Amino acid sequence: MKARMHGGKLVVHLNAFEARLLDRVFRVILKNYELKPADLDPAVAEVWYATRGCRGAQMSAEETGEWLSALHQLKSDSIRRLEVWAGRLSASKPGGHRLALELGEADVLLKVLNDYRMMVAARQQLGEAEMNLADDFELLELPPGRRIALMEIDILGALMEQILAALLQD
Amino acid sequence: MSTETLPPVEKPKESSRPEEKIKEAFDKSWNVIVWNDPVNLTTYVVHVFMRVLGFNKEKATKHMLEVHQLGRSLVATETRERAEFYHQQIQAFGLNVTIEPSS
Repeated sequence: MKARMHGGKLVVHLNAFEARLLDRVFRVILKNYELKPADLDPAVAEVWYATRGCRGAQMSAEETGEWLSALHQLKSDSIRRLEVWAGRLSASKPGGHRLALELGEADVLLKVLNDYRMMVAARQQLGEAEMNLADDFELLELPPGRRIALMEIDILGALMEQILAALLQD
Repeated sequence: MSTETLPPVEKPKESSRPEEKIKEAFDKSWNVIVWNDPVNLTTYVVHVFMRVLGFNKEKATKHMLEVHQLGRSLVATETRERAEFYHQQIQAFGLNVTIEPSS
């Protein structure tokens, strides 16, 4: 991936592998954004819709429910945009793919990539110890599901770093 | 001159005033706290602080380091309404955030 600012927009160039990975990420996230918090995998809901802050804010059950609905709406608002991006990335393009995003859309992309990382970490119960594995030998000792999750988190993290570097230079 | 009886003037509810004053004072100080987690990138946390809280890069980095090294950072003390807004916006970016009354 190459990310740079051009004409006030974030322009992202993706090779075939990156486009395929992001297409898959968008489609998985789409399905999960469509679900209400109560219907989501509880492990994922615990991170995407954590209510610890609501308890600290002394919210009633009703207020917490409204807060969760509003948060779900914020995620749902990205669904149409994700469908468009996934449609573009699924088309075969030998020269790679290019996405030109407004700044608000760049934030949506970052949130989506981050939500995916948080989702797989929650599902595979990856914590501080796994995130800080010192070398590849330790990684190879993990069960395949956890290993793949860590690699996805790492690759998407690298993509996010490039987007963030482009945004910060602007 | 009209002979209609005017409705009685409602007395101001004096008893509620002190409560409202207390509530207003209470509303003025809510802490917004961001907590460490093992997955979020440090650069992403800086970005969220800049976007949501309007911090410059230096201030955002200082608070990110507090989160990373101390486990939490008090990023804002605001009215209840504003603190709730920050709470929701920061949570929407996937950071671990709480609000609590300021002591």
